[in-house]
Amino acid sequence: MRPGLRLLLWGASLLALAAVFALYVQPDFVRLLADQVWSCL
Amino acid sequence: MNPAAPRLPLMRLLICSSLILTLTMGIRHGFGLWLQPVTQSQGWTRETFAFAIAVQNLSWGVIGIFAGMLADRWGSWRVLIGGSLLWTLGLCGMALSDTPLTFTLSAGVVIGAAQAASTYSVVYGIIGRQVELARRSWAMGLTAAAGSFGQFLMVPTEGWLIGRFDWQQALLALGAATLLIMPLARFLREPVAPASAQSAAASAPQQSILQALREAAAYPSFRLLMAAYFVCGFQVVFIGVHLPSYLKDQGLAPQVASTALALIGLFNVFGTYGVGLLGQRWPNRYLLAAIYGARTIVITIFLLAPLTPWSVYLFAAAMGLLWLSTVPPTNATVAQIFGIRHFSMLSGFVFCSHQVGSFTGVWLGGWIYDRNGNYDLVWLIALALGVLAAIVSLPVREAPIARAPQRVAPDAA
Repeated sequence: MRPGLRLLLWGASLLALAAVFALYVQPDFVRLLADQVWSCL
Repeated sequence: MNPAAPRLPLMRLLICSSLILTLTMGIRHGFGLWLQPVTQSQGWTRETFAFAIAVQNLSWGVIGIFAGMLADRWGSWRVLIGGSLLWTLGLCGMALSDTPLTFTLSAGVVIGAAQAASTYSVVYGIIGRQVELARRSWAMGLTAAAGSFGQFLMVPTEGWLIGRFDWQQALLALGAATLLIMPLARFLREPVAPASAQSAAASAPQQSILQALREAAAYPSFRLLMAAYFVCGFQVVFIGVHLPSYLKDQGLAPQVASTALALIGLFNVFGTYGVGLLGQRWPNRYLLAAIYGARTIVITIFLLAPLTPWSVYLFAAAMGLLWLSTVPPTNATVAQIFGIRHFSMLSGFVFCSHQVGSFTGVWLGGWIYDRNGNYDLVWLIALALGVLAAIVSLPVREAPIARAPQRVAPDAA
C-alpha cells in the first residue's frame, strides 16, 4: 500500500474514533448511559 | 490453502469482513441499553431480561460449533447470509415479543445463533483460506479491531435510536440494518478452484469432522488454548458487567463508570489491531501469555491503588488494550496447528469455552456478591485464573500438527 494512502487511512480511522468518543462525552448521552448502568444494579 | 485456487482481492475481503464484524459485534454490545425500556414497558423483572441475555451467550457458544461446521462444509458466505436472516428474525422477534418465553427465544436463542453465524469463527474461516500465513495474524487483528470499533460505536448509536424513536422501532431499525450483511457476504463468496485442482484435492485423503474433533480433543495445546480462552471470557464479562456495581459500592459517581466503559471500548480497538500486528513477528503463545500476565498485573495495581476517577480511567484504558486482544492470536494459533479445513468448527469449539467462562464470570460474580456483600473473592479468582492462563499459554505448540501419511496434511500456507 502506498504511504500516502496508508497515512490517509490512519487519519480517517483516528478521526472516526475521536468522533465516536465525542458522542460518549455529550452530557445527554453520559446521563443516559449512567442512568442505564446504574439502573442495572 | 490450495495454491491453485484464485483468491478474493485482499481489500474487498478486509472491508466486507470488517463491516460485518462492526455491525454484528456492535449491535450485541449495546443490548444493556434495552434493559430499562423493555422491562418497564412489558412489566417484566430484570431477571427475565438477564436470563435471555445469559441464554444468548450460551447459544452463541454452542451453536458456534455447528455454524463453524456448516461454514467449513458449505462456505462461510452462505452461513453469513443465514446469520443475517437470523439477526433480522431475532431483533424483530425481540421487538414484538409479549411474553418472557418468546423474548427468551428471540433475544436469547435466535440472536445467539445469529451471532454464531456472523462473527469471528465464520469470518476467520474466510480469512484463514484467503490470506497467506505471513499476513494472516495482521488480517485477523484488523478485522477484530473492526469488531471492537463496532462495540465502541454502537452503544451511543443504539442509545440515540432509543431516544429518537421508541425502543421497539429502534429494534426494528437494527433488524433492517442487519440485512446489509447479505450483500456483504455475497462479496465474500470464495472463488472456486480450477477443475484440475479440484480433482487433485478430491483424490487426496480428507479428514472427517469426527477425525478432526478427535484429533483436536487429544492434542494438549488445543486443550490449553481452550483453558486460557475460558479465563478470557471469565475476566472480560465479569469486569464488563460487575465493574459499575463495584464502583458504585466504592462511592464513585455513575459518570465514572460510563466513562470507564467508553475508554475500554476505545482502547480495545488499538489493542486488537496491535496484537494482530505483533502476531506477525512474535510467537502467539508469548503474546497470549503476555496478555494474561498483563491483565493480572493491571487488576492487582487497580485493587491495591487508592480508588479515584483517574485510577479507574487508567485501569479502563489498560484493560481496554487487553480486552479482545486474545482473539487474533488464539484463532491464528488454531489455524496454524490444525490447518484451515476444519478451522471454523475448531475455532467455534475454543470460543464455546470462552462463552462458558463468560457465563461463569457473570454468574459467579453475582452469586458471590449476594453471599459476601462484596466482590473481593471474585477479584481474587480472576487474578488466580489470569496467572493460570499466562502459565498454560507458554507451552502451546504452534507448529502444524504431525499427522500420519494417510491423513490430509494441514494447510498452513
